[in-house]
Amino acid sequence: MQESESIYRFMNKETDIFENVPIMNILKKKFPAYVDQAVDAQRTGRKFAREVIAPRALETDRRCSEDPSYVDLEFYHKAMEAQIPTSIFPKKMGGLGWSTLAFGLWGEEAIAADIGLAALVTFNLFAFIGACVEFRPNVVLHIVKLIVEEERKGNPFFFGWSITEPSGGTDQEHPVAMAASRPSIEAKKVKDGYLLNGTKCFCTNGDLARLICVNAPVDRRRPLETQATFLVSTDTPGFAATRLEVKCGQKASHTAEINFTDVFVPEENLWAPPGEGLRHAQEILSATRGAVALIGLGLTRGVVERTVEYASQKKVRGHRLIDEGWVHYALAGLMTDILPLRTAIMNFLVAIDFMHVVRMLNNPITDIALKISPAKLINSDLVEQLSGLGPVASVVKSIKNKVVSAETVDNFLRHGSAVKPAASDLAMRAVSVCADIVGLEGLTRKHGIEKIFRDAKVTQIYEGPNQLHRLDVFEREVGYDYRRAV
Amino acid sequence: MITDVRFEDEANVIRKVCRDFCRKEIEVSALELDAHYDLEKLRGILVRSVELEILTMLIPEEYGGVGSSVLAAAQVLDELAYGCAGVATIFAYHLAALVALIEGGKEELLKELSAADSPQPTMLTLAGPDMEEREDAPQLVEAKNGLMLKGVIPLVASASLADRMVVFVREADAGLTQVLVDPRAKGVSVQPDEELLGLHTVPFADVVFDGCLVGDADLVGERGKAEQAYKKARAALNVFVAAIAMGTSRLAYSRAYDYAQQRWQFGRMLVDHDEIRRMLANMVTKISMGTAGYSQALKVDGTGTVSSWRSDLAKIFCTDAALEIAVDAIQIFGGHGYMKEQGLEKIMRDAKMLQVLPESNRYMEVQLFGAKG
Ligand SMILES: Cc1cc2nc3c(=O)[nH]c(=O)nc-3n(C[C@H](O)[C@H](O)[C@H](O)COP(=O)(O)OP(=O)(O)OC[C@H]3O[C@@H](n4cnc5c(N)ncnc54)[C@H](O)[C@@H]3O)c2cc1C
Repeated sequence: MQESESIYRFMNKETDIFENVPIMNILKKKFPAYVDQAVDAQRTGRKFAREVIAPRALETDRRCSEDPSYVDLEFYHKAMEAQIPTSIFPKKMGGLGWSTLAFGLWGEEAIAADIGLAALVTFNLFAFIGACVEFRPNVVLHIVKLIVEEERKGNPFFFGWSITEPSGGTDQEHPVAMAASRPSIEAKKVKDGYLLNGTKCFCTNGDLARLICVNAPVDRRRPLETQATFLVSTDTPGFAATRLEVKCGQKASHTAEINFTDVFVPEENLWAPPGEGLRHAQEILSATRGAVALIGLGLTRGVVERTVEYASQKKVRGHRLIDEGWVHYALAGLMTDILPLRTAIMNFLVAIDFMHVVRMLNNPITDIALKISPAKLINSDLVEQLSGLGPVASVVKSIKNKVVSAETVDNFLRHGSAVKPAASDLAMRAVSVCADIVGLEGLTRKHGIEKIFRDAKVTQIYEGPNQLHRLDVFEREVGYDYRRAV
Repeated sequence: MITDVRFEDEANVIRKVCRDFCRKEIEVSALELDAHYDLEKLRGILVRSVELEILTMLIPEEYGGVGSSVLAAAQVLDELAYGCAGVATIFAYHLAALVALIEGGKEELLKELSAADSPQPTMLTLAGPDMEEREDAPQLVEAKNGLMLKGVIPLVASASLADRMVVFVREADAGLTQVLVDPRAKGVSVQPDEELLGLHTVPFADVVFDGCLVGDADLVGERGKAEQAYKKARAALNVFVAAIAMGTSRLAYSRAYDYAQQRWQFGRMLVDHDEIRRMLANMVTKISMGTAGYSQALKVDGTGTVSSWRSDLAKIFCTDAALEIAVDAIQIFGGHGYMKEQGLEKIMRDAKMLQVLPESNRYMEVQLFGAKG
């Protein structure tokens, strides 16, 4: 990200959402505060990306190459000062009260500067969504309170979400696949809780997390019927991060294998009961696949912007590289895909705000509760305990199930599964095309293009591989049952 | 099903020997060399290759060499690239430089190279000519005591490793000239190695010529008459890069094929999913066609000379295919494919480099149809 003199039209603007996502102009009329907040987040994101992320991205990547266990805590602290990791929590609970759209616009800028660092500070989103999915008010309050309190004290609070296991990631995200899977992990019912045994792999933050949301079946032979979701505190005896992956890119964000040996999980930390584990995962995925699409989009923008910058400065054959026709076509081919994809993803984010779990926070009951109760009360243990009481919890949960119906989740899964492969495939195409444009000299480390090249590939794999997403879309478009596939 | 896309001509002894060498010497070190450049280790591999006569294979028999064809050399590189595309690329630049020297008629040097009894082989590389009309492109300047070379060549392959450098200098009024340079000579400075996306085994560095003397003996052929030598060297380099792309693709393919037979997902083995079969089929198709393409990149006149045009086509096709194959191989491995230890992400990075070496495929495509206007 170069400052000033950029020939890339949008780079020097504080915000470009009104030009690039035209529907925002209409939305602004109806929901001015909502759109203003988003614009503000984009502006902040641009500034933060330029001033904080971009200058350290290459150095952090290098240090992580030398030592995969390195964590750029100094950076995390800067992000904490800006309240980024807690930005999506309601204001009354100590967050910034950002909408998904605002968070997404901030994220897009951060990702375009560096996905490794962006991932490091935005992953608590999974904690929030994971907790919201169950929407037992005490669970949400508990998680939010814990993270906010710790980060206020200056202690980074990492969260993990672990569904993938050695026997496979695809199998963890689809019922037909899961029914035929051969998991290694199992949860055994004991008095007052469960004992977890087995291994999970590729867990982002697995070695850093204080809390990890883990899927495991209660009966290994019937994984689909007995899959459950647990919240595991990593200081529980028997838990260990057993291996840190050495990756191609996205190195600033850790990926670990985690092992469970008789890890006790108390009953109240059973988030989704046996048989509901896959639904819980799918509900999270229905929102987060859109977030990974945003990663694909951010990476594409990042590499295209750097390439435009490079090509407009690089002199060849008596002119600028960007003056050659083949370069116009190569870049135009990417830009014509960025524009519609960006609109689709922003649409998705807005839809999450108005239709998905975060809507609960704007639901009349929650809303009133948040509005009338003083912050002190909301954040007190009393409310947390009260809202954990059977009747209160079940009322709120049933409201949640009405607000976010099974059809809604399914529809989000369909759209999320469409934008995610579209964006990640575009990212891979973009890094390749841009590398072809800048050539050998442009692929030296300092230009940052080679780093985005390394970062991009995994977007086609994580949050489920793109093949699965295509199947998810087909299934929902056609109403197809994969048990009939030959 | 074909599990191992290799040439059917198994009787080809050179290839067999090279394959063994690749297994023993290159494959085992490839990942380590990718993670940490290690000159000692690399030199060890080069020294042990002397026995196989790879480095002298293109030198005509009358000068003491093996007298192999460019295509035979390409097949050897294909084998080596199965172990490591980077190591093979070092050989490729050496061999392409030999083509230039042979065409330039550097008899004594060629004899010297084949007769050398020192265990340390003399490594060559190829640099230039400038294709970008850079302001600082090297020029031959008349000085008191003869010709002097001045200018910069960016990112020369094997720069800090080579003992001799074949430099092509383009002069506005005098045409193309081939010069032999000792990178350790006065007036030549090899800048620190640059970090690039892939081919980490190959040290790439800028070379600055600051008045390095060029004596008569350093001119290869006549001044301004090196167009033919360059054309041949470049065509050879294209074919070599194409072959390397295919060698490294074979590794990606065979790894992906094996994994697809072992991994169970979505109720069956990966290889039993049609989409995975499509990927594997696309890999073998491209490898077969690409291999055939570079193996036949000859002029139609029956002289056995490599055709510039066909070598361009082979280079573009094979290296584009290599990236696609590597990306799909990673996908078949899922999350594991993204991890260093599997070696597939290295193939992907190497393949991308091959696409822009020595020029970007996309620019080569534009150039195929001659100068504009
Ligand atoms: C950097 C990184 C971070 C990650 N973070 C997390 C995390 O925080 N939490 C977590 O739970 N997981 C995480 N993952 C895991 C990720 O979600 C999985 O890698 C992914 O779901 C794929 O699973 P897999 O690797 O087991 O591949 P597999 O499931 O074994 O798939 C292998 C290949 O088979 C293909 N395939 C499978 N079924 C079919 C079919 N029916 N038709 C065609 N092809 C098929 C797949 O598309 C893929 O190409 C992470 C992974 C990485 C690399």
